Amino acid sequence: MTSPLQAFKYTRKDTFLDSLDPRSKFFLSISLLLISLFTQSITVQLAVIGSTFLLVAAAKRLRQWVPTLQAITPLVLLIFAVNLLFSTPPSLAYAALMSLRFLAVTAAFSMFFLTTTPDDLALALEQSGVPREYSLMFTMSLRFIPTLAEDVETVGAALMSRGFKLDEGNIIKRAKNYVYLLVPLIVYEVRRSLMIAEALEARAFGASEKPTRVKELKMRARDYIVLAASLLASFSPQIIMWLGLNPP
Amino acid sequence: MLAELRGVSYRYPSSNAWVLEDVDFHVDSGEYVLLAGPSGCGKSTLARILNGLIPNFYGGTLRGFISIDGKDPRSTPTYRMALSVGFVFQNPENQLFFSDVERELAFGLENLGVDPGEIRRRVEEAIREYGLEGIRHRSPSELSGGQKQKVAIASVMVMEPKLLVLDEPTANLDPLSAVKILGLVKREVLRKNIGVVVIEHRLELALPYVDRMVVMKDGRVVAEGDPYVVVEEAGEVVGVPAIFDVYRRLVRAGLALGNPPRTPEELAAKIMAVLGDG
Ligand SMILES: Nc1ncnc2c1ncn2[C@@H]1O[C@H](COP(=O)(O)OP(=O)(O)OP(=O)(O)O)[C@@H](O)[C@H]1O
Ligand SMILES: [Mg+2]
Repeated sequence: MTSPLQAFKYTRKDTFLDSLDPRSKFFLSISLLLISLFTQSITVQLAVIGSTFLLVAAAKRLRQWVPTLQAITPLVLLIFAVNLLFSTPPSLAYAALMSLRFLAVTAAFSMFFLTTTPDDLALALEQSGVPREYSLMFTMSLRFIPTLAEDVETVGAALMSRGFKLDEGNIIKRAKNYVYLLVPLIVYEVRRSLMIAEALEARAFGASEKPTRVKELKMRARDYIVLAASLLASFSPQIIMWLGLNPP
Repeated sequence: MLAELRGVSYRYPSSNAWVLEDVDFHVDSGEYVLLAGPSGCGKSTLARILNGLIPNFYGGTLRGFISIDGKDPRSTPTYRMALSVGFVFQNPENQLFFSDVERELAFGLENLGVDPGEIRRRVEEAIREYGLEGIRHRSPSELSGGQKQKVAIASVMVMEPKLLVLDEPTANLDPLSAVKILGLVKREVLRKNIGVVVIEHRLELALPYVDRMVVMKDGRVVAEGDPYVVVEEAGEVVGVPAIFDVYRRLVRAGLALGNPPRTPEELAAKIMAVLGDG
């Protein structure tokens, strides 16, 4: 798997963030997003990134989180450059704000995905009224990412063993090469998805109008505390301003 | 009889050739049946009839008498067939849907609407029986081929089927893992008195475990009965496992080895016995 995806992958650990209900954790990430979107202050953006850092550190996920941020650094720089070139008049502060905002939002959502099992996420969807078929589609698409990555390698290797050179020629030639890779890959995946559909039927998928769930999500006291704290945090820049302490 | 097919013929919707022709087949509870035959002879097709994927999923024309735990797949949807028949496919990758073994085991029971308390009980039991404690929260990409197939079998067995059908369950495994899987299935036959149909190309791996062998060729059953007799009879169709070849040559060379051996170890023991006598 490529490193940016890896960094969104859940690994099991036993920390405070892991023990939270995915819904309250999602709300926490959303509130960080809202703060980041609605502020024009670079300091506040840095504060968002800083608090996310502390949360991730508390969840012992720095080792996966930092590489995510490293992986998106080129994008951050690109956003910086584009905003610097196209803002009128060119403003260093504006470009910094935009790129930091992107960094802050990625950081917050990476924290969410790193500490939430896909299964809990699907549960949260189901308990919010999303039908089982859709939540399953979501869990399964995450589950099959490594399989797909392997298939890309298999098909690529099969093509190369027939003398096909994937990474050769100019950019247009290479883009065309990937189209050649794509066609057999799609055939391969369609076949795989048919086999998966068969296997689903054999496990009685669709048998009951009311499928049960072995696990159910429950909001606990700590979840309500996180909800309240997130809500408060969402309005913190406004509160600070209202108190007459303009953030720099 | 747990499952019985009499005079069954089948044609896939996309072709006008009959893939199965006038097939008789049966399995009883507590019986481990090996289904063998050359590639394309119709083994998988027969297996799909047993769990109702044919005709429910594949369509086509299906004729003859079929009774599987009293059900006819032509009038029973696959998910209802799943109550009687568990199915394990060749590639475990395509039958594991979750990034967590525990959830994988629970899935079939959830689909059937089983009460969560009961699901938890059965999942724990399966984790114990199959020795999955250490990998209960692993994702398939973190499991070996043998472990994946073990989880696939467990996730079907928690639904407590009466018949278990395995279509080349060991094709992607090394011989040692393959033998472990076939042995695990044997244990289930003995403990739970289920009927099993296994499709397996490597006869020498399966023969020591099975009670009966059925050989197909070109959509027909051409031999059936005691595995060692059938291997002798239908050697041309299914190929002769190496140990039989060695055994036959030794007998031809004048060694009195008695009945055909089931395993290389048994052959070795027989040879030792003969040499000891001489
Ligand atoms: N979905 C399908 N549509 C049309 N024809 C099919 C389909 N699946 C299999 N067949 C044909 O039916 C025949 C029997 O195939 P089947 O898969 O049952 O053989 P098999 O004994 O399982 O072979 P193998 O050992 O290679 O798995 C073959 O000729 C095959 O081409
Ligand atoms: Mg087959």
